[in-house]
Amino acid sequence: MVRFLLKRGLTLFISMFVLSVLIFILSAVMPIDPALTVLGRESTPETRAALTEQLGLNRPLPERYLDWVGNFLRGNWGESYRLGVAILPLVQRRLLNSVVLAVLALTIIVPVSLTLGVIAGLKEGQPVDRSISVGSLVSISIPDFVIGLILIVIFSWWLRLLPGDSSLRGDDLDLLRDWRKLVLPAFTAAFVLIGYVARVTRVSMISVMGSAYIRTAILKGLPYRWVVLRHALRNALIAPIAVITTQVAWLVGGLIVIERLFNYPGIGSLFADAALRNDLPMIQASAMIAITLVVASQALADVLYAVLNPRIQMS
Amino acid sequence: MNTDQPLDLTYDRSLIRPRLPRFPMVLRHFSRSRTAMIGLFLLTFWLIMALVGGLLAPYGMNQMEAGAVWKAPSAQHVMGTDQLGRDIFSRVMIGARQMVVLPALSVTFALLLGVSIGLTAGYVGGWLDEVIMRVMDVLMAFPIVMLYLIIIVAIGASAVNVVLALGIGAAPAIARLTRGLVLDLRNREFIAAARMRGESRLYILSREIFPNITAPILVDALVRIGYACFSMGALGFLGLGVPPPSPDWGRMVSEARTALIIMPTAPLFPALAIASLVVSFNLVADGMTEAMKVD
Repeated sequence: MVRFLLKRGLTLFISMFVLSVLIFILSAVMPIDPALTVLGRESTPETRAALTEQLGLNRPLPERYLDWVGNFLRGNWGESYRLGVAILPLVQRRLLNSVVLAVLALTIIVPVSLTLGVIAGLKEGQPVDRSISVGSLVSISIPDFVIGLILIVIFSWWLRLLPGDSSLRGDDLDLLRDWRKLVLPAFTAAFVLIGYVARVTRVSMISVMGSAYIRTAILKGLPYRWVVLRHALRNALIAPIAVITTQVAWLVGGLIVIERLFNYPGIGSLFADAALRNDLPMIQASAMIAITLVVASQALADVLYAVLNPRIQMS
Repeated sequence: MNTDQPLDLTYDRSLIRPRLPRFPMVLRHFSRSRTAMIGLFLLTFWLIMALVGGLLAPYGMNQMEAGAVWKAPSAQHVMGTDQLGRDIFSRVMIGARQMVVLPALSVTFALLLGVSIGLTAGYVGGWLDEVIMRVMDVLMAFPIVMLYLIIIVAIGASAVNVVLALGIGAAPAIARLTRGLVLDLRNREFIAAARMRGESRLYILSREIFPNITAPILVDALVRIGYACFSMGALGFLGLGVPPPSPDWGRMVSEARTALIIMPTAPLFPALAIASLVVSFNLVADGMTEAMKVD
């Protein structure tokens, strides 16, 4: 187990390194002149050159990379070119909002998708299974902003039950005051993944129910419900649970679109705004945070999978 | 191995290339699935729109009508008009072409990249395989919309760059699939037989392995085109798709979203167009997968 954890930690480190280099190179080739972004079009070439010098942007790339990573690790994230505020506190606040939204989405995804998948798997080929299968295929095909839009039209415009705009005053989230603003974004974020996880669960359930030990248990005369609950579920749920944790990348990407649709102040909309406004340090910081989340959750998924499934080779 | 009998290459079935799925059979199973046929119908509809939608559209894509801003659906404007008084129905029909062609091109580009990477990694193996697949894993870990956004910001928004960004995003998954298929085949006896015949590496890769992996890769490519449409919609929605005034469905949704309170149907039509296009690709791909499993 220790060796497994060490090895996983090493690949985690290497992934983070490669991804940070990728982000740095991509942002270095971006046709953005930071001095122009900061000083505006009325500035003279001389002042722009001076600022470029001051920001250290004319040094060689490897030196700039080391400098950038060092500053990032020390929490020295600098100021936004566009907003003129320190990046770290802004990112922290936005990240918290996004995490609340993501956790809410996951609490919808996990029970709903596992239940649907297990039911479909047990009733393979029957009408229940066919409708769940087709429904989940359709749900994974509909882009998140389309779902969000339909939910807004139904619940906000037509029924007038929930707000379609989730912007928060001062970006501060107060769950007691703002919970209504979270409902539609959370269901939108959950929608696509429910279909996906349900499909994985269904396939996993079918393969477990067809295996020899389940047939033995049934032939032994154990009640069907007992076999499903005690024998089958334990093994059938390993794959979907591991899949859910690897879908954090998808969730983060989905949040970029969903947060913009609902004007919700999260890390995704922060990144999209930064990208649209050429705000280089903000792009880098929010991208780094997002991939840290993703890579860490994948490592967590691997460890979880190893713990759940003792048969996995740990070497 | 049984050494009593002489090795007769012509009669040992395991030394002959495996039979590819027979298309009449696959087609028959495919046509029996109702959902697959609905998908095929939708897909055919959009393919025809992509071909002749521009000719059938009642208005030009940039033809504006003075004083007809955000009009409700009517006999003149079946889907209403947008913020500049342009006919939404015409823009959806004209926009079908780029929404079908650009994702298809991006997946073609991704196939070129991904299949060659996957073939190399899978067949050559060793440390090269290890390095290539690690890099692919890392790329796949990157949130895909974020990767597209960064690439588009780095190289600018245009039709060509959307194709490049979507292609680069889809390539790692294709490489991984191809590699898996190659690993499955490379130790089979018909490959060993080809190697013993003294065939070159290129011959084995292109004539023995490649024909055996095309079917699953093509089905997967259908799903990928669906996803590329999905992502192109998202890029357009975020304002980084094909630049205006071209009728990008995703951009049409995001522009009409501001008028949701006045005219809720305006964003719904292009949104439903994207959804039905992606659904059609997925239904057809799912039907194909099922049909090939049966054969």
